[in-house]
Amino acid sequence: MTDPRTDDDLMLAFGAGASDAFEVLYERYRKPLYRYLYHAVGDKTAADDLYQDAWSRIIASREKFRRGNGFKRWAFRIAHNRLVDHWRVLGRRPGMDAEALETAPDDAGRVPEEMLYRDQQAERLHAALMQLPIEQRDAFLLQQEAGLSLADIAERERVGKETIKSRLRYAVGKLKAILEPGPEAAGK
Amino acid sequence: MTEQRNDKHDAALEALYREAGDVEPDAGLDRIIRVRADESSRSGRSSNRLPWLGGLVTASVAIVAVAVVLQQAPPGSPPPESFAPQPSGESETSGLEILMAPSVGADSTLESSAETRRARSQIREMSSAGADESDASPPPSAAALRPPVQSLPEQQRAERLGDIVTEQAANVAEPVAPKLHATAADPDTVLARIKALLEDGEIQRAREVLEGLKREYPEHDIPEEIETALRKESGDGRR
Repeated sequence: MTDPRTDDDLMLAFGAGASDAFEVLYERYRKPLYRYLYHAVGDKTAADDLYQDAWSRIIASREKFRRGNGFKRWAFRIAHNRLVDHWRVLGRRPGMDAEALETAPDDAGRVPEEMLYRDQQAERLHAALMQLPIEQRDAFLLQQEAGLSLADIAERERVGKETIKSRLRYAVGKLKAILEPGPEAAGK
Repeated sequence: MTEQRNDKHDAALEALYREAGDVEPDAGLDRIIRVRADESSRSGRSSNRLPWLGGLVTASVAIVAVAVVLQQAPPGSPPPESFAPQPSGESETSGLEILMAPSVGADSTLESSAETRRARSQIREMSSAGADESDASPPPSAAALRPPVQSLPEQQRAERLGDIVTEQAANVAEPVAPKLHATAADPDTVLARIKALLEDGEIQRAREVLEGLKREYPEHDIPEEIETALRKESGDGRR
C-alpha cells in the first residue's frame, strides 16, 4: 500500500528518528536519483560512489531539513553538488566518460535474445547522452528526473531562464538526431 | 503545427528515455545506504560528525581480539571459530561495507585509493550476483575469498589474521586528498565572505549570502559562530 505521507513529512519524521520513514522515502527516490547520477557521469563505478555519497549527505543533513524545502529539490540539489565536485575533480572532461563507455565490456552475448534490443537502445541512449555537453546533459536530466522547471534549473545553474531553455532545446535536438530515425526513414 | 510535431517528438524521446534509461542501484548499494540510515537514526545524531568512529572502534576491537587469541592459543591448536573467515553473515558484511564506504564530507570520496575502489567493486559484483539468487545473502568479505585460516600452519595463520586486521584498518583510514579547485562558489569561500561581511557590519548582506549558501549547499554545516552572530545582530536590530 502506498504511504499517504508527503516527502517532506517523511523526511521530517526521519529527522525525528523514524527509520521507517526513510525506507519509504528511499523507495521513492532511489531510482530517480540513481538515474540522474548514472546518466550524468556515464560510468557505473563513479555513479555508485556519487549515489552513496549523496545519500550519506542526505542522511547526515536530515536535521537541517525544514518543511517547505521540498525534499525532491533538496535531495537533487545535494546530488547535483556531488556531481559538480566530480566534474571539478575531472577537470570537466566529459570525453573521459565517453571513452570509458566505449571501452566497457560488451556482455550482450550473455543476455537472453529478447533483452538484446532493449540493451542496445539503452546503450544508444547512454552514448547519446554522453555526447551532450555537460551543461545540456545536466539540464536535460534535471528536467527528466527531478522534474524541475526551467526557472528552478536556471536558479540552480545561476543562469537566465532563456539560457536553460536554449540548452534544453539543443539537448533534445541532439538526442533526437542521434536516437530517432532520419526524416527519410520517418516517411517525411 | 510545427510546435505540435515537436511536442510529439519530445514525448517520443521522453518515452525512449524512460524505457531505455531505466537503471537502478545494486542491492548491495541499497543495503549500505539503508544500514547507514538505520544506524544514524538509532544513534540519534548526524553521521557526519564522527564518520570514522565506527570503523576505528571495529578495527581496535579486532586488533585487541587477535592479540588475545595469539597470546592464549596453545601451539598447534586451531583458532576459535569467531576468527575464521565467515562466508556469509549479515553483521560482518554490514560492518565491512560501512568501513569501505567513503567518508562523509571529504572531497576525497572521488579519489579513493585504487585498492579500496577495487575491493568495493568486488563486493558490489558479488553482491549483485548474490542478489539474483537470494536477496537476503550479503556479499562475502575479501578475507572470505581466501582459504580457511584453520587449514594453514601456525605461522601463516598468525600472518593471515594480521592481514585481516590490516585490511580493515586500511579501509578505515582512506587518505584525505586536498581540494583540487577552489572557486567563488565553494562553500568555504562563501563562509569566509560571510565572516568578512559580519566583521564589516554588513549584517543584512551577510544574512542574504547565508540564505543563498543554505539554498545552494543544504548539506553544508554552518559554523555556530556565524549563526550566533546573526541571531545576536537580529536581536540588536537589522541594519
